[in-house]
Amino acid sequence: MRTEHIMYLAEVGCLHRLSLASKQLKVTPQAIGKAIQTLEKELHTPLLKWTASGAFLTVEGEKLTMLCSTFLCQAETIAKRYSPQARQSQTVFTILTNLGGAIHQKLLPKLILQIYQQQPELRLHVLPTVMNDITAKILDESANLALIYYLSSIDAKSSDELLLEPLFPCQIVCQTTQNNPFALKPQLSMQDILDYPLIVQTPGDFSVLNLLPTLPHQAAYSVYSEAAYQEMVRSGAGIGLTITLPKICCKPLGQIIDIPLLNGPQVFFGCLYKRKWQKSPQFQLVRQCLHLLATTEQFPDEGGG
Amino acid sequence: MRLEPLRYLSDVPQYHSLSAISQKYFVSVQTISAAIKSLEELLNLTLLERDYNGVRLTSAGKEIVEAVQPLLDYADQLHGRSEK
Repeated sequence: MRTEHIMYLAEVGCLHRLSLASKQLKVTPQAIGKAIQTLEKELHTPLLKWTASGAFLTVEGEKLTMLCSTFLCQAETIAKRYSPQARQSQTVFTILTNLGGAIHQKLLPKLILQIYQQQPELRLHVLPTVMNDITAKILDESANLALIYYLSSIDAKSSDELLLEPLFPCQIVCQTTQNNPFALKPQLSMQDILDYPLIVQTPGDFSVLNLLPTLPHQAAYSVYSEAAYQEMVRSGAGIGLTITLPKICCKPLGQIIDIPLLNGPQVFFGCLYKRKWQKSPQFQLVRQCLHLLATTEQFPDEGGG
Repeated sequence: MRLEPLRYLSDVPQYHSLSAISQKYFVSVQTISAAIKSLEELLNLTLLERDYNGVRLTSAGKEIVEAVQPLLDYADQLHGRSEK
């Protein structure tokens, strides 16, 4: 039995005339008739019924042709997907991210859009939140890039192979109390994020390294918009601590620095990646997109859209 | 595309051996091997691979078998076969 013969049957069933199907398929009517007869004989089932108005598929014929055309479509898709050309373009780039931060909620969709606009065939995987102290390990083993704004500690053994690239020479507002109007709203909605400019100014007189050890280790640190932060302060319901980034992150945008092995937590917003990925074309593309987003006027201070 | 090689392929997960499949269909191993090879050329896919246990489907082979199974099952049903 051949799929071509089943498709002859489908064509006759559709056009109701052997002669029309013959023209369409560029096969003689005799060959089509014989193919259908052979099919019916093999399956012991009438697949066409002949009426005064022409030929029509029987119920069995309809189901057979439907299953056959479905299979042919699927086979074509599978063949395309496994073709050498397709396999070459199916590079997977994995981004590890703390999803808790508003910056990420805002940055990630834009980053993904940017990347797909430039290289639609690049497959992106985004890994969700990880425990901070195993970020480096996961990055080492499975991801290509981590977008992070807080890292409590780094495995000294693997950090030698990692590079940190600060993205935003900016400051982060951290929520540190439970009694604020946003406590019930730990994750800002996309509209909240779009409605307010992010990032507040700060005197910069806090020492992150002194401050962070006093915070609950598992606290949810969120980046808030300036308006949201002001509202939080105005309501008096909580204290939003404004934390300056450590000096290492205030270096010029795009500068790559080695991660220092500090005892205790570090705070920064940047991308963390394996040294060996530095020259890969996939990483170059992602990095280019990140820089575009980081330097564009619409981000992170945009007020809408 | 002939359905016979697809039918042979669909039996690979069960039999792991072209020889066993050839006995089921009363054809030679060479016939089965050649039919599958033609199908691989037609689809430009590797569908079968050999391992120490015999033969097994590649990922593409598994997907093709999964895709064709409803058609094979229906053809069997119409034919009134009872083996499957």
